[in-house]
Amino acid sequence: MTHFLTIVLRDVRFRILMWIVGISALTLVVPPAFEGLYSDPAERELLKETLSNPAMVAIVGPVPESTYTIAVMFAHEMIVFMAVVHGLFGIMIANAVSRKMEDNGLLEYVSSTGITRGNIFRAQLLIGFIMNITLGAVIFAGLSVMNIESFGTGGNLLYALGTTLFGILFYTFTLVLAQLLPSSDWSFGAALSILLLLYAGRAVTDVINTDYSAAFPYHWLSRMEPFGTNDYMWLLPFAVILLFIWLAWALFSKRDLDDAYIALDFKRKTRRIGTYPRLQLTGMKVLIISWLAGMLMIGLSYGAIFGDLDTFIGENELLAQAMEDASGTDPILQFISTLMMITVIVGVIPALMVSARILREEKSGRLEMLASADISRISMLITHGVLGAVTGALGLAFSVFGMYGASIGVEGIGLTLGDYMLTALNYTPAVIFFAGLSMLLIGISRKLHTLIWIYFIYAFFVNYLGLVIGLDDEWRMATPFHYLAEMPAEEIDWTAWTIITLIGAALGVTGALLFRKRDIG
Amino acid sequence: MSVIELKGMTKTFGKTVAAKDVSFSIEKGEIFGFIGPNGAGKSTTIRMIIGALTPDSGEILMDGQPVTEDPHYKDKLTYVPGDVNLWGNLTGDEVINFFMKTRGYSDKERKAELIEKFRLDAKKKCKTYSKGNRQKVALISAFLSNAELLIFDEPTTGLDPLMERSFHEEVIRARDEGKSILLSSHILSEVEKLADRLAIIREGEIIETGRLKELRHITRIEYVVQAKGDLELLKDLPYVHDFDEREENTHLRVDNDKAAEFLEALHPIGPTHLETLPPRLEDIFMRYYEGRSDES
Repeated sequence: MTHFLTIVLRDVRFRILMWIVGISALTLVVPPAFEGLYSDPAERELLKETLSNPAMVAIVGPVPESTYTIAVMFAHEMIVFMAVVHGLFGIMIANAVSRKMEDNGLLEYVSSTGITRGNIFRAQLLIGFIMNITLGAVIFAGLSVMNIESFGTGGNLLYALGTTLFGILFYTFTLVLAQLLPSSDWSFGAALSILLLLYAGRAVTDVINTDYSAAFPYHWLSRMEPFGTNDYMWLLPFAVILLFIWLAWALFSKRDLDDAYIALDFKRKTRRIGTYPRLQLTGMKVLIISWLAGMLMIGLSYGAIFGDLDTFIGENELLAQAMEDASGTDPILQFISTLMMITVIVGVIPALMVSARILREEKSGRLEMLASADISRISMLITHGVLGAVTGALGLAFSVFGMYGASIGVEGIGLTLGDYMLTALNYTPAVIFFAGLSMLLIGISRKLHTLIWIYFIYAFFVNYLGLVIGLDDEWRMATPFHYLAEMPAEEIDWTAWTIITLIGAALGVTGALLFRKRDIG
Repeated sequence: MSVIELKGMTKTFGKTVAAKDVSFSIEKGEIFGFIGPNGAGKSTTIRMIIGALTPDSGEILMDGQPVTEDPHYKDKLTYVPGDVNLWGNLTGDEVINFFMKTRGYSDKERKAELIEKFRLDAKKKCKTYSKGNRQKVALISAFLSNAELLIFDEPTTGLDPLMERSFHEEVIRARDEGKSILLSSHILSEVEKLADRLAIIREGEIIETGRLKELRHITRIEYVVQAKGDLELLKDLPYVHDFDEREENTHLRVDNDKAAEFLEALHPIGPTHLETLPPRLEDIFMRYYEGRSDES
């Protein structure tokens, strides 16, 4: 048992370390930054007011009632956003040590040496606990050491505990999915979808009625109000982790290796696959369709609160007037632009996933076989880049369509379906830019491609902080979002649109040319 | 004219020299064996031929033309990797069809014949296939092609003996049709049985190239002897190796170029039975290995 734990841990320890360093850094840079930016309590109260509009509640979560100290502000603005990252960490590692190992035949091999199912499961579970608790300990220690005013020990502990449990929750949930679904692609995809859909679902209930939000784990974190009321009671719902552990074990111990409870293989007649794009589309069908469905869901969730935005503006005429005077545009359009920004950033993910699929071909040695059949590497990489950009653009179209559909009855919004589609088009260069950059990195080296995710997280983070606390726009200059018009509040800027599209295309073409020359496999 | 010619191909990965000045050529209608232990540089060489790796130096000519000048030289070759990975959600049939379509050949009868011959259940998804079955998919696609050069990287490691024989038959058939075959292997008996010529690679360098017959000068021949006198006298001669007295016969190996001296030395002992066993590739191989262990 300990041997198995050691060897698996050794296999994933670098990845775990990177995640722990990344997440704790992302968490711990924020309190000092907030202290510098918002040292004046009056300013913080003002910020709190602006965060109480439905658009921001949908993104950040409900505003806590307690005094808006720096610590309360930190927990309020960070915990839901960071929970997504903690959840992702849990999902990635849980999938790697469970279904992925099984897909690779490693579990079978290990079982043959006399290591029992129980040993395997305990090791998988322990890794989840060890890594999340370590991360929690680093965050707790970091927050304590910084010793910033208003960060009490109780709050530090609660923040660390909450996020740790959230990570473990998704870790164990992924272990359950790993038993139910037939491959690591499925378990990863399903876990990720649920992580994101719960975020979107919470957005709706947080705006409409927080009582319903109690069904969403994100909200448990919001309700703890670390540093404010410090409500430890909201740790209790995380007891559902025990249920997941029991369920995962019950399902794992009773099934054959490589078997699954939910079979997703359908008997079909032979498909005609004669080109590389067709081949890839066949392989990525589920990935693409589920992302498009997900983008539609996000659009529907945000669209569902547009009515509340309208009511909010009606009830806060002074604020609305101030917003309109400051920018000269309808406040509701500003709110929609805010929500749109988050939607667009999420919409970049499928573009990157589709574009990065070529690395899977390379890793498995299939790319070599395809290249030897005189399918040019340039055309293969361009296929992935274009499919990625198209998937991303379609995702944006689906999301704005969802917004339109869910807010059709709201009267205060003067946006036609055409306006919505133009908004999606306005943000398409961002998707093209990311797909192009991804192609460039792939063209240089397989390993270098990881950088795109780091850049993506950077872009997400600075945009998020830009929306939430008005972080200096300079930080966003390194991302395409700084340059594109913030539609629908602003008019589309065709110059920026064209330039970013061209840069993205140029990056992609350069990547393809480099890819032709580099060693593969 | 050679179908393919490699001139001084070198490839390094960091400090490791994976291939050093590798040169050989393959003629039309011949089976060229490429042998060496694991990690000797066989796959590196092949992967340079198919363009997956860019050589540090050296040149590849196909039909006398440098491949760098012919972007479509791969039309003339087909390749089966040693470890075949396929798209798990596609059936074997779909994969074979894909390669047929992309490469533009359409002989359905031949496809059915090969599927039958290799006993492949082509309707199953590739993720359910064993290593051998995945290899069969790639082999069938290769034999269906009309490429001039067929490249096999350790093709039979996952096949059972019956399928191995089918593979050998198909290789010979391809040769008889005038195609050239590059057969990389560490299974000597296979190369010995099929190859017209061969190259031996060790630690990235080609150490011998030629017909098996020509290579035999560097081999030792095994003699099986009975004699009236004491054969022990031969044991310490410098060109006698692996002296082994068994119940009836004495087995010993003699450097091939010292046969005359050996027979002279044997004559006074009064041999009553003398038998020679033909040299095998193993012997060539082992001799190089001995050389290597002597050095170290």
